[in-house]
Amino acid sequence: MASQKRISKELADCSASPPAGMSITLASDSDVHKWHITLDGPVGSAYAGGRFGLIVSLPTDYPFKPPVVTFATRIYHPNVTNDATGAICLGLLKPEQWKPSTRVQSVLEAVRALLVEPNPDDPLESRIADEYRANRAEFNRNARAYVNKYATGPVTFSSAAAAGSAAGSGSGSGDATGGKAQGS
Amino acid sequence: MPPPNTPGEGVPAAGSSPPESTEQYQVQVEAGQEQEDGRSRVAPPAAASPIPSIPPTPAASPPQAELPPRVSPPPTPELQFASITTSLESTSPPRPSLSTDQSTRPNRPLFYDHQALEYEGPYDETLQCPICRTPFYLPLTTRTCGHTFCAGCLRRALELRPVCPIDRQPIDKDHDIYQTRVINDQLDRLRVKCPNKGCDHVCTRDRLPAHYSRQCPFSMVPCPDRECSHRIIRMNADPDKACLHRETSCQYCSATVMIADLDSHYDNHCAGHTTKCTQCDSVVVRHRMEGHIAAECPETEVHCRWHPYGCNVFGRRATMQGHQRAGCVYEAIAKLTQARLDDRAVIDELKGRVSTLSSRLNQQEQELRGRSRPSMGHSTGVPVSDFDVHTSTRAASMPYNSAAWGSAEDYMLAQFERIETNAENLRKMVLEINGHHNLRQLNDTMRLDGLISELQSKIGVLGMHTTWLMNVQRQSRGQQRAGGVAGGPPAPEMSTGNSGNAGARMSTEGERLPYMGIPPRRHSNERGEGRGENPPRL
Ligand SMILES: [Zn+2]
Ligand SMILES: [Zn+2]
Ligand SMILES: [Zn+2]
Ligand SMILES: [Zn+2]
Ligand SMILES: [Zn+2]
Ligand SMILES: [Zn+2]
Ligand SMILES: [Zn+2]
Repeated sequence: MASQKRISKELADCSASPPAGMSITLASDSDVHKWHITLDGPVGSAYAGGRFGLIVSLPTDYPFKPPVVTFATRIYHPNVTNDATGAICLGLLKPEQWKPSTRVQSVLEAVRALLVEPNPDDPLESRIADEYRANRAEFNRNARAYVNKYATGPVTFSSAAAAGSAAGSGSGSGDATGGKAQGS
Repeated sequence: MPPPNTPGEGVPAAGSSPPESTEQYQVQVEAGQEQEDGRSRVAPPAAASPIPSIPPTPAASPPQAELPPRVSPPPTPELQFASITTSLESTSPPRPSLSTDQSTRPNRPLFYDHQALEYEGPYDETLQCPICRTPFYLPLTTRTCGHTFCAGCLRRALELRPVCPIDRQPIDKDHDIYQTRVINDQLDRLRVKCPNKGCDHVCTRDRLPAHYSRQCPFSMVPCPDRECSHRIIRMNADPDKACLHRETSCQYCSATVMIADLDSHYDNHCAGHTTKCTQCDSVVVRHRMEGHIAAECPETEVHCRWHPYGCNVFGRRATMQGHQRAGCVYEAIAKLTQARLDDRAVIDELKGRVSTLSSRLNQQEQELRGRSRPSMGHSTGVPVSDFDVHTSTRAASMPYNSAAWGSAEDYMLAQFERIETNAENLRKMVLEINGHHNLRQLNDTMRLDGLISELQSKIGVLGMHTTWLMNVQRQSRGQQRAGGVAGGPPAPEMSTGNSGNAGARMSTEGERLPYMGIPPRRHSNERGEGRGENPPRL
């Protein structure tokens, strides 16, 4: 009950002035604990032009426990699992680092910052992290390919469905659209 | 099964506290402490702490076993807070009488969720807890980093991790936090809305507990029926009524519902909550049906809107709207009538105002006249009566005319100004007259002065003549007595400078010592010295 109050407040604040390039909706009107966020890939990053779905789940004892943030859209990133779960490794969301005074807004801004500047020292995908460190051009190409493959259409939040349909339809056209994106 | 409670009041006992207590909240707090004490007998360690003993979990704190099997509110942080607020008194021995009373108490006090409160108007950001984002409730501050939180918020945060929720400094909950009292005044003065649904009461935060637990008609209180273990909103907790916790079947959906819950059932759950309007077939919330028929339903037959002005068209609301939109002939009449009525009202109002104003004016005029006459008569002389008559006749012949004067105040102001000017003129006149008067007086005096000095000189000359004549007489008489030896007349001597004097002296002395050369004594003839020589000047 108490958390509900804070959450509705944060939701109102966040909807009124969302972080740059984001729009926020509720997964269902009756449940303020699950937010759907549409995030535009930050300009200047490898993800520019992409549109990503983020799911923010606020636990019942939020803000004492950290929210869980996952990508609903697949993304090629050292700190996001390269699968349909889209789990994010974000320092301030780790239980041992979570501060109850942190707001969702800050979390979202941190996620966006992570797209601008990945953190290869604390990776979830060490292969991608290595690539990011060793071969930035290759990393950028791969990231953009993912953007073109998964993050161009309208955002869907049922991550499984999104992953499935995107994977099915996208595998063939991935290279072609990737080339187009690079040209533009 | 539960022992009796005060039926009319409906407030869950609050121990043995007097019912008129405005410190209801305090009572609750103490009660909470009792419970803490009771609990700490089972789990002792918390009691010894110098800092508010923070119970480990909310579930552990309310001694559920001691409570009667009632629908009790969910455990809220207040209970734990209670122990915190009274921690300073925690050294005092627990009152056993209250404790035993508490164990048999039928109901715990009413509690509401502080963080769910709605505040009226904005409040200072510095009063906001960084955890729950609402104004602090029982604020505690960390010693190490000076951060402030609600007691409940901080407790829960420290349970999970003993660090400051803002900067993660290690916090020992027994030593590193203290009660923040400085902002309590500000917090108390925040205005909050009563959390009960249906109640629109707004008060300062410190008064809410009293309203909520003692007055609010929407608070849940124990059923007045002692045999019943349910709660009911205070409004319906009428001891004369039978227990409303009997089941009945809803007249609309035939669900089985508690009588006390019928209203809520109709509003929220009833399958027959809405119904079809028998006339227009639209779906209408059942309890709004009357309003629908009276104002909305297009099938209901109604009169034309201009019926009071003569239109007799009657029919379905839908067609009537068409009739009115097309232009009912009576609309113009209605509007004219309405306009006339409006004018009438304005006229009546103006009439009333004019009559009150003119009566007030008359009164003031009389006052003025009464005041001005004596004062003017006193200050000036003759001209006043003339002036006064003039003024009063003018005033009398000039009744108040609102059109010309604007308002009564303007009129009075003008009157006063005129009187003031007149008074000023009078003053000038008086001064002028005074001046004239003085000048004339001055002239007269000067003329008289001249006359007097002239007369004085004439008198002086006359005196000289007299003296000279007397001398002449004496001399001639003296010569006659001497036997005519000296012979010649004295006149030739008189023509020289001192001869007159000598003659005079001789005449006076000669009276007593004739013919003897005694030195002359000064004697009333000083003037004679100056004037004696030229008597002919006259
Ligand atoms: Zn701190
Ligand atoms: Zn708080
Ligand atoms: Zn109320
Ligand atoms: Zn009952
Ligand atoms: Zn029903
Ligand atoms: Zn109808
Ligand atoms: Zn009509």
